[in-house]
Amino acid sequence: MRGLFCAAALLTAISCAGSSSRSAPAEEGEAATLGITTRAPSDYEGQCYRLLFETRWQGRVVASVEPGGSAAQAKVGEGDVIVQVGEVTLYSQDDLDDLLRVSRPGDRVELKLRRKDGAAEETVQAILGAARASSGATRRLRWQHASLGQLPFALKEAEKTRKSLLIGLSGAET
Amino acid sequence: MIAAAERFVRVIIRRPHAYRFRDQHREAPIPGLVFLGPDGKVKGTFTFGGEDDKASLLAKLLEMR
Repeated sequence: MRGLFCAAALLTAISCAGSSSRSAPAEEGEAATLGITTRAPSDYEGQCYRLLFETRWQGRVVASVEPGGSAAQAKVGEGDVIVQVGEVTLYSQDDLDDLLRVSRPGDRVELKLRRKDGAAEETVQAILGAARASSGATRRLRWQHASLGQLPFALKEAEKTRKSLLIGLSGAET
Repeated sequence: MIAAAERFVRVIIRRPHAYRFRDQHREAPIPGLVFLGPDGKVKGTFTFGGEDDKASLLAKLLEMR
């Protein structure tokens, strides 16, 4: 049964390019949210869903879904694996947190995911919800773009505004 | 929020994405900061060490750029 489950996931996997509509980062006190909690994939899930990228698993398994929240409205369920949000491939909770931190409620994002029942890889649209920002939101630096996938947006913005870019690598101690 | 940071377009890139960034910019420190010009070329880098007051250090660093 497990083999069949894996085979179905493998045979039906397709790839879709991610994208999102972006606006300025959220105001102080509010934060964008998908209304989910996630966890790292197990080795078994990683193999079944073909999540290996170089030496690590990509994607985050949805551990819980807030009823009526952004992900629930986009028909994302517990056990689904979110591989990519917008331009950002997820390897850790930090990747997701960074993306939400530079987004704002109402932004539309594309989620690339693998369904827990082994069905085809799907791309769904979600509209980010609003949550109260945690106390940790007051940071030394407020990032505007997250991850390598959004670097092209940043370069365009820098070219347009004639600003330099500040790239923080791996948390950049903020 | 460090006021001088407003002069920059700010991007956070974590591991393992940061490794791919370093593939393109060999001098990029991880963890650390890289300054790029509007043309996308590296103008400077900063590597974090064991500083106690990183906030002050960051503020000074950004003021100087």
